This record gives sequence, structure tokens and C-alpha cells, in this order.
Amino acid sequence: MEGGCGVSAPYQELLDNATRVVGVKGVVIVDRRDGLVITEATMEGVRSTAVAALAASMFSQIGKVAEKARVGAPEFVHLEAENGVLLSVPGKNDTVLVAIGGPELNVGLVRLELLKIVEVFG
Amino acid sequence: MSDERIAELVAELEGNPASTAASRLVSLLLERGDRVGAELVARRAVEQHPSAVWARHMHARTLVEVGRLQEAYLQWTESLRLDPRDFESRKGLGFLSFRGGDLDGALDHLEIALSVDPSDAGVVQALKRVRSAIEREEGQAAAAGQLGDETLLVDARGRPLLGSLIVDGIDCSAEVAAYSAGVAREATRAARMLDLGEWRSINVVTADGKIHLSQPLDVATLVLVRSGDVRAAQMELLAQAAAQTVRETWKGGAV
Repeated sequence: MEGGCGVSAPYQELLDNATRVVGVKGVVIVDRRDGLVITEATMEGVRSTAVAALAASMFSQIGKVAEKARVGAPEFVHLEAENGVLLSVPGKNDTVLVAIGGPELNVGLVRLELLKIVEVFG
Repeated sequence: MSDERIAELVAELEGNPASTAASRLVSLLLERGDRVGAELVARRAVEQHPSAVWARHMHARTLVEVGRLQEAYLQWTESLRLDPRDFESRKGLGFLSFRGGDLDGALDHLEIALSVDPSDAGVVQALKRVRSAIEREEGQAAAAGQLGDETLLVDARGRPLLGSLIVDGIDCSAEVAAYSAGVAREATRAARMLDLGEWRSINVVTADGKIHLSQPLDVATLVLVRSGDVRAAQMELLAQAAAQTVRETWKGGAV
């Protein structure tokens, strides 16, 4: 697993825990404003910069739909695709936590892990 | 040749404004592409022959040529008043009603026209188009009824195709449609660039509800919005049922 720079051990441990869930290929904390990676724990081959940029952009678009539909801000986004899933939860301070994984991934479990990170990461 | 003939007919009309040369002159002017001139001559013919059905027809046709459809409608209504069984007036009114989206009106006029002349291929063809438009409209209404007012089908350019989204009595369809198309585009881009293949659905849990997006058709995105406490699995089932309705409606050609 690759770790981001400047992230202290407890956070990295939480990210690593999330990636231990079966099917998870990586977890990335993203700055929602510019779509850049803040920190990550990803398997080799996962393009974390692309994950960050695309997930942040999609999260922002979904936020607009939710606002126009008057159902409040998004708390969890689950994109299901043929060969995998992309999960996002909003973090504090304009961040988004994103997990990418295979189709076998346990969505509920990963969501809980992401929420744990949000709680600690602040 | 046609210029000379036009000059002759103009001279004839100047000498005798009541002459029926107007009819030939209008045809020649239309052939030459002078629609405005044709309309002017036809208008004068109506002034000269206010009770003549042929003059009203001619004027109505030239009004259609110059795009003044409402006035054309009035002319054909007047010619129909002069002769209630008049075929050309029914045909003209049927055409204009169809153009204006009044399908029932178009059907009425064209059916009467057909009863007058069952062999007119133009009327037969027009009736076919009107009936299929009515069927399409009925199919859409039925599908929209099934989708309810919390489900929306959106085209790739962000326009609502079917259904609606009404929240607290306010119709949010257009705004939600516009942004949903953006989400669908982003999802397609993200799934492809991240080697996830084609995206199937997006489930969103929000502070006060849930949103579900899917693509039951290549060209459209289905958006379900539910406020309050709806379980994710329930949303999935609702989305599947709505997608089925959309596919059936599409197959029937109603979208």
C-alpha cells in the first residue's frame, strides 16, 4: 500500500484498515475544492490522482442535484459499475473520502470504515 | 416568359380588380418564390370576393407560406363557415391544428375531410401521422402516471423526457434534469477512466432522503428522488420498476 506524505500514523492506520476490507483497492482523502489527493492508501495500479479528481467532480455534481431536489446534502455516494464500485463520503473541511474497489466489495462495511476515518480525521 | 405572364395578369387585375386572374397570378408568384407578393394578391382577391370559398383558400395557403398561421386558420374557418362540407378547409384546418399541437382538433377535421374524399392520399397520410401522435401522447401520459411525481427520465442534454419531480408543491424537474445529466456524464467518464466499465447505478444517501440514478436506455438517465426514510434496497426495487416502465414505453415508441 502506498501512503500519503505528512499524514500521521493513526490516520494512516485507519486508511490501511479500510483497505483491508475484501475488495477494496484503495482509499483516498481528497480536497473537494480542487480534486487533489490529500492522503491515500492504495494498491499498486490504482491511479489515485484520477480517482480523486473524478470522484470530487462527481460528488460536487451530485450535491447540486440533491440541492435542487431539496433532499439535503449528500452523505454517501455509491457508484456501481460493471467491474467495480466507487464510494464517497464527505469529510470535514471540504474533503471527500473515496474508496475504490471490485464488484465483490462489501459496501456497508466500507462505508462504516470511511465514516470512522471522517470521525478521526476531522 | 413567366415575367411577361405575371405582367399581363397584373394588368388584367388593375383593369378589373374582380377578375379571377388573381388565382393564376398567385400560383405564378408562388412558383417564383415571391410569397409576400402572392399573399398580397390573395388578400385583395378576398376583398373583392369575400363570399368566395376559393379566394379564402388561396389566401389561407399564402398565409401559411409566409408563416402567418393564425390568420390562415381564420381564413379556413371562414371558408368552412361559407361551406361546412368544404374539403380544402377541413384539410387546411387539420394541418394547422396538427402543427399547433391540437391533435384532437386535427383528427376531427381530417376525419371529416376523409369522409368527403376518401381517396385523398394526403389526408390519409396526415390522419396516420395524427393517430400515431395521439397514441404516442397517450403512451407518455400512461407512463408518466406510472412514474409518479418523484421520478424523472432525463435526456443526455439535461431535458426532462418523462415523469416529473415535485417537491413541496414545487416542480423541480427542469433543474434536477439539468444537473442529473451532468452527473451521468461524470459517472461515465469516471467509470471508464478508472477501468470500472459502464456504470449501472448511483445511489446517494442525503441528509433528508435518497437519490438513485441509472440508465435504462443508452440515451437517457432515470432519476428517482425520495425524501424521508426509504431504505436503499427499497430504492433499488423502485428504480427497477421505473426502469421497466421506461423501457416498455420506449419500445412502444412513446418517448
